[in-house]
Amino acid sequence: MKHHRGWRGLTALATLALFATACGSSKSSSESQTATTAAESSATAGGASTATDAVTAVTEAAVPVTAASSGSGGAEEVRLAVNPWTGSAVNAAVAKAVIEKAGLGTVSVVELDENASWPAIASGDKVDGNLEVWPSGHAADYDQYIKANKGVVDGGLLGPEAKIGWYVPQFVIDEHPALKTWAGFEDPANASLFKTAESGDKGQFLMGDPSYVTYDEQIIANLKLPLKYVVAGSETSLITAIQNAEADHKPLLLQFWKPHWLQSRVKLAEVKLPDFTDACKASAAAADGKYACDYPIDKLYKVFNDKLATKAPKSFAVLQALTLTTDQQSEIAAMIDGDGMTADAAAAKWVAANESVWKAWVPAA
Amino acid sequence: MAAPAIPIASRPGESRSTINLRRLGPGLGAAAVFVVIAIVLGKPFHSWWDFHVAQTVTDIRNWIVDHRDAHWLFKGVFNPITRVLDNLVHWTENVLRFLSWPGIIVAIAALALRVAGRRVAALCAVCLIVIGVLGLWAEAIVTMSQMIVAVSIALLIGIPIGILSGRHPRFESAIRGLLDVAQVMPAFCYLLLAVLLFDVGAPPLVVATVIFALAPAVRLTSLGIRSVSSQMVEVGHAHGSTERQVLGKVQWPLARPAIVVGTSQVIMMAFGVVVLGAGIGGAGLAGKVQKGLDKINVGVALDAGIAIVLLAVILDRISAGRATEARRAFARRDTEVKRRELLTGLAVVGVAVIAGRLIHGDVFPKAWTYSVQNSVNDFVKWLQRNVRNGVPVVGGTEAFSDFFVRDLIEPMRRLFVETPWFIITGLLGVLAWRTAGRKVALVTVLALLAIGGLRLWNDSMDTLSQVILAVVLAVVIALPLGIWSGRSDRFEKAIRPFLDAAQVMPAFVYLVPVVALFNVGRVPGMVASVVYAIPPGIRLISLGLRQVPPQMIEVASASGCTNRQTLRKVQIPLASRAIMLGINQVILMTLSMVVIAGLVGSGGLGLKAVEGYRKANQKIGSGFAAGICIVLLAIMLDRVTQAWGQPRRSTQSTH
Repeated sequence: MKHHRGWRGLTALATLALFATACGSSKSSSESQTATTAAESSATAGGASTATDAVTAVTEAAVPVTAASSGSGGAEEVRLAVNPWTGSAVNAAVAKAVIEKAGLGTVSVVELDENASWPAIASGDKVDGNLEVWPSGHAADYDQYIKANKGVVDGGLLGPEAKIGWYVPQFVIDEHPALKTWAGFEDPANASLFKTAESGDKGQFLMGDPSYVTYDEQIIANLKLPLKYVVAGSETSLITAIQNAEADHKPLLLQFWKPHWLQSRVKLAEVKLPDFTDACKASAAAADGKYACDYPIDKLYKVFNDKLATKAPKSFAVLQALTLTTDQQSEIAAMIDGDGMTADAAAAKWVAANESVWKAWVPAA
Repeated sequence: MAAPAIPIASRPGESRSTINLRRLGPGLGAAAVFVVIAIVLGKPFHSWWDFHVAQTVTDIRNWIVDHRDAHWLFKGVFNPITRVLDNLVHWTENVLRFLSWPGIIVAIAALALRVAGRRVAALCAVCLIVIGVLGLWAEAIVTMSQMIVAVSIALLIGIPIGILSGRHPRFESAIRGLLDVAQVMPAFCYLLLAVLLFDVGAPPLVVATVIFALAPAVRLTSLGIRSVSSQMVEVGHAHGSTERQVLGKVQWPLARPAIVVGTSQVIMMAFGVVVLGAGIGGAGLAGKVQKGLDKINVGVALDAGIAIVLLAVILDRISAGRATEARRAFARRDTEVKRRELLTGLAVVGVAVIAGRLIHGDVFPKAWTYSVQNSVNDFVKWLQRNVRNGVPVVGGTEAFSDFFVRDLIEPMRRLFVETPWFIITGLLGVLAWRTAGRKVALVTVLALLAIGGLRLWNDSMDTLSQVILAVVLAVVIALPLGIWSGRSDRFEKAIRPFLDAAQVMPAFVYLVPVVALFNVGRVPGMVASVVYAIPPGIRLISLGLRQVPPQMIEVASASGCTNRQTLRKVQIPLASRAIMLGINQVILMTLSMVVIAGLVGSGGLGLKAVEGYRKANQKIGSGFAAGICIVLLAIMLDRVTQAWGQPRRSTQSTH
């Protein structure tokens, strides 16, 4: 008797499933997606006190366009990877707002880690592109996926330039002006300001997520600085360490970068390292361990699946043309990180105010 | 050297052993062989002692990247599997969305009422409403669909394998090692390989979850089948039953309780990996946890973590069907009544679904949501400012952390890393031999040699030193709490919810608070491991004390023992097996947290594993090798401590 019960439950479930799929799973799913977006945009409205009405109006206006275009049959569908930082979300949201406003098709986003993005874009089954790749960390991927034609194409520069570097909280420089440049760290007395239990008798140099490009160990060794390289293991623990340092007013030396949302919350100052030279470029390429200078500027670029151009030609043209300046990206990012808006709402607001900028990206019909 | 391990290991009987040539014989032989091995392998390990695991895995990864688009292996095998998994998850999601939130709450409550009674039904309904109130209904549906598919697949694969291995001991011993690897290997180490094979989104997450959660399904089914007494099986045969009938009518029904426990374990394990979905496009609650982490918003992460805990609780309580009275009461009623009840239930659910559709209840009403995010974040800020330092007299958690790093962890690490490998291997081998027998000693030595061959000796020793300290810390906390909860029903009841939460709450959620309190480094990882590892320790110790026959305690108190004496001389010795099992679990749980520790600055194998995931294009190989090292450490420590828990016989039989 007992073991029949499981079967009965299963049958009931199967019946339910059949019922659901037969009775219009497609309808319910599309409905539910709209519902989710609606819910999200209303969340924005609740969270953001500024320009609430305008934002809701814009998002709501965007929905009918989407519906109309998906009904017309010729609509394109693009799926963009969003990596876990604000800039990445900004680009995708802007692309979404523009493509949907121009009535070219729909854009959805897939939240992914950087490294998972590459195979996903190469296969193209679920992700069509990524609008913000930091070149410094992906030289190997560039060779493997783009140069070897493994399903990914270089989509050109996005516009913003990013920079990795050595940072200390501003108050450290205020109190010890010598630490403005790397030479200040040669003095063991200065370096020992950064001592922690983990760094022993040297000063601590903190590095965050192990996926980020780093020459810090080489820089420390080659400039003969009395520092110990410590890996925090994740961006989360790196930022928490910064917040700890702020709370305690305690010196901290770390690898950080711009643009980053934290830069607007915590005053960090960059430590001057020796200028980036051709010799440095050569030793980075050769991986000879002799790197001893500043980080190069990261020119962020876009990547797409190689079939996107044929699959969604109009949207592809927009994505190719899409560029943002560092200021534009930061402006939208500030709406998200500062005002608590969702990426979609922030992008919609920006798109509404900057028609001349994005109109140039849309190909003439 | 392995100082912290010795107090547990030394047995009163051992010290009396006199020198006896016959007994020394095999020992001397083994020592001679070991010396030869040590000389051949050199110090540090010669470069030829390299299994090339890292390189091989990297080569495989590169091969996949190069052949992903054209090779039949992907077109014919992996891509169809990916599509099937994708569709299963999407269908489930659509069904759940269609049912709407009122429909789901009523349906789950009805199901719970039917299999587990009124209290569980009420609990499930409340849990679901809380998820809705947290504003996470849509995310919970996504996660729920992934978990339903993953758990179903794990059971569909695991139970038949478990039946097979329960009936064929040889098969069982053949797959035992594989199950160990599947359970202990950190998912981080193969997650990116899963992405390469199954693309992003639900499929790789489902695959990783199935791999991780398979072992308990197999183990407990097999245990259940084996524990059916052979007489029962013989009676079945004597009545002329075929093999199939014996399995279906005798073994399966009698093994059901164990299989139910297995199911509940599968669910718990599955929810343990769900958070990993964030980085690979799994979205849902995992995505929310990740968002909270990215912005150091503990409140957001905690909300999602609570929702995960609640989902796990619902699935666990229903699958365990705790209140057997409800079941029995149901079984006693005649079929007509049952049919009527079933129909009534379906009708009520149907009405709820229709009502839900009418109000467009795909997601929980926004107006009813409430969040404690801000107070949580304020609390973390407060911790950061007031508990880390500035506590009178003791200083605060930072002082504790600094003391731990400077005076315990670092000296211990240096001892492990700087002592030549053959001395460590030799000493651990001897220790294992003396306390756990020849076989375990052999396993220990081979595992350590293999770690050398994986070229991760120093990282492994670094990690081992941290694991040992974390285990000592966890045992120091778990032992008194376990004893207390074994002796007091009230205390046990009071701490149970905390233990549940500590076990299921994704560690990602408390990464920020532990770093805020203990600073980046090795201590936050240890603290997180301790939080995660003590629940099973406390539970097993408490269970052990409770299993001591009450007569023994009565005898003790009748012969004039004080309460303390009874505890020390009667209860603890009689519960020693369960206590050792508890310690064994603490060790395994601590090892499973090595990767999490890597995310907050522990270095060692944890960092290598994190690199393997986060920097897959270069480090996937060494990440995988680090995963194997974690498995080897786990197997070694597991076998040794399991042997300590066995009756003495096993040690003596080796002489």
